[in-house]
Amino acid sequence: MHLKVNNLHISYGKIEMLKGITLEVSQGTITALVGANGAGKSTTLMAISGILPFKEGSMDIDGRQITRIKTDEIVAWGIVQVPEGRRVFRRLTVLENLQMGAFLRRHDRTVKDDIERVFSLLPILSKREKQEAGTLSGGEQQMLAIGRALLAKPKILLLDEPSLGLAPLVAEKIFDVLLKIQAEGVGILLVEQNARWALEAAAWAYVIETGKIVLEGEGRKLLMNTQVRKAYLGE
Amino acid sequence: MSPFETFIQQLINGLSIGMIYALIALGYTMVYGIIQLINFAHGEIFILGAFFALFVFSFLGSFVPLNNIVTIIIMFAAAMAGCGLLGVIIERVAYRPLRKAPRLACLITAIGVSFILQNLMMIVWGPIDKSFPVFFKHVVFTVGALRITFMQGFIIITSLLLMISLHFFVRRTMLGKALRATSEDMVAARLMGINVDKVISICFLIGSALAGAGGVMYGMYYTTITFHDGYLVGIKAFTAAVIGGIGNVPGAMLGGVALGMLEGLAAGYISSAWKNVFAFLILVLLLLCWPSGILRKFRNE
Repeated sequence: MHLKVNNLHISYGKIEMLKGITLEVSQGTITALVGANGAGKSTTLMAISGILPFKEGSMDIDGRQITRIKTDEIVAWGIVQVPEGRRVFRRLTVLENLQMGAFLRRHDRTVKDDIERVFSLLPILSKREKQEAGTLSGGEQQMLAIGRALLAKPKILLLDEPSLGLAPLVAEKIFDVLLKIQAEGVGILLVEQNARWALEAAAWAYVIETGKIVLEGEGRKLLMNTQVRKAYLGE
Repeated sequence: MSPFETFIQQLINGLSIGMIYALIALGYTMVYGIIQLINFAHGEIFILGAFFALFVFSFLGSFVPLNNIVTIIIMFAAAMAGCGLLGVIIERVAYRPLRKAPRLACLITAIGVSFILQNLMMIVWGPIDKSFPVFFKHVVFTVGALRITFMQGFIIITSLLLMISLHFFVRRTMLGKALRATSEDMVAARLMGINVDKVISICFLIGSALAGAGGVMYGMYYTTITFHDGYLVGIKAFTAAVIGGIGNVPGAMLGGVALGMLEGLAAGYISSAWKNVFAFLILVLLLLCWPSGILRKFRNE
């Protein structure tokens, strides 16, 4: 699957949050989106997921143009988001959270096998299966958020700040999981404050500033860029 | 009767009406839990359940003689289906267009819907009391000095069955889980592909159907109904929902039972003329001192 976002414009009242975002994501690759707080990274993901309506622009999925996006249709297409702050359903158990990820496939008998597969990828979840998600640690909740999204059978995963607020060791585990998911052929659009890791892993990366893409290129090449190093790697 | 037995007897008397409050309170609390709206039209939906049942009763009666049990089942089915459908339509027509409007706009609309329904009922069924058919002979069971009528037992058991079904739906089915997920985090639910508009419709459908069932039992218990009955009982059920913590499903059941029993005690020890005073005194005190209810809803930090 290939997702292309063309010239996305989004406004909150009079404030223009996105001023024409164009980007592409392909299955099996990691694409990074880096930028400062408030640059419009989350807004971009929420627009792709159809939570925020855009007044201008369009999306292409495998060459099919979509102009009015409904979130459940986007999920059914295979574009699934792991939102910022994890947003697991705290009062639902771990298993129930996973089942919600498979909500559109609720009559599908293979969901049980998929849950087992998620448990083997993220073994901590199987230990916590019957626990309420609110009792999990931050890292475990992030794993759950990722596992929940995987149950929607994504072709492209939109990840918003998966390492935010996690200890470096835990963050590393999350990154390992992401690489495994990519290796299975899922495309990842990654928004990540750990720009170094994101750029290293990304085949292609975009730098966003105040609602505009100001720079794009291969991840490792951007890592060498002096502008990028100054702004996002603290050098 | 010993003082203790008197006390228990008042609790039993309060329990049956408390169960009806609980059924109605569930609708308030489910709707509030999912779209943070106090649906003031819910009381009217409740009493409409009684009117719908009365309508099918007279309709059926003019055709074929049926035995009581079949008649009662048809009355419940009609009331629950009619109220459920009405709840869905009200949400679709009156509340959904205001989904993004300030919350106050929705609240005022709900009050408006309540007035519209009340006046429609007055036009259709008239301003005077309508008498409800009596199905059960006045049978009284006694345990020691305690008395419970067949009607009271019927209300308690029917309500319990409905609540257990709701509990099963919310806990075990995918739609029920989606309902809980949506009431916790609507955006996250949408990101899972859950169509929240449908979930909200289902919430209104179930809440209103339960209120409709409550309406039929109210009619059977008090044997007369009027177009404005829903208003007072509705506010009491709302009180019950607040007692349990609005948005909290088990809390609503508990709150309804607690309020009914309290009314029973007030009626038994002071005077039945004072029972409404007590119900609303509790509402005022709770809103002042303990607005999140006895079972506080677990909140995200």
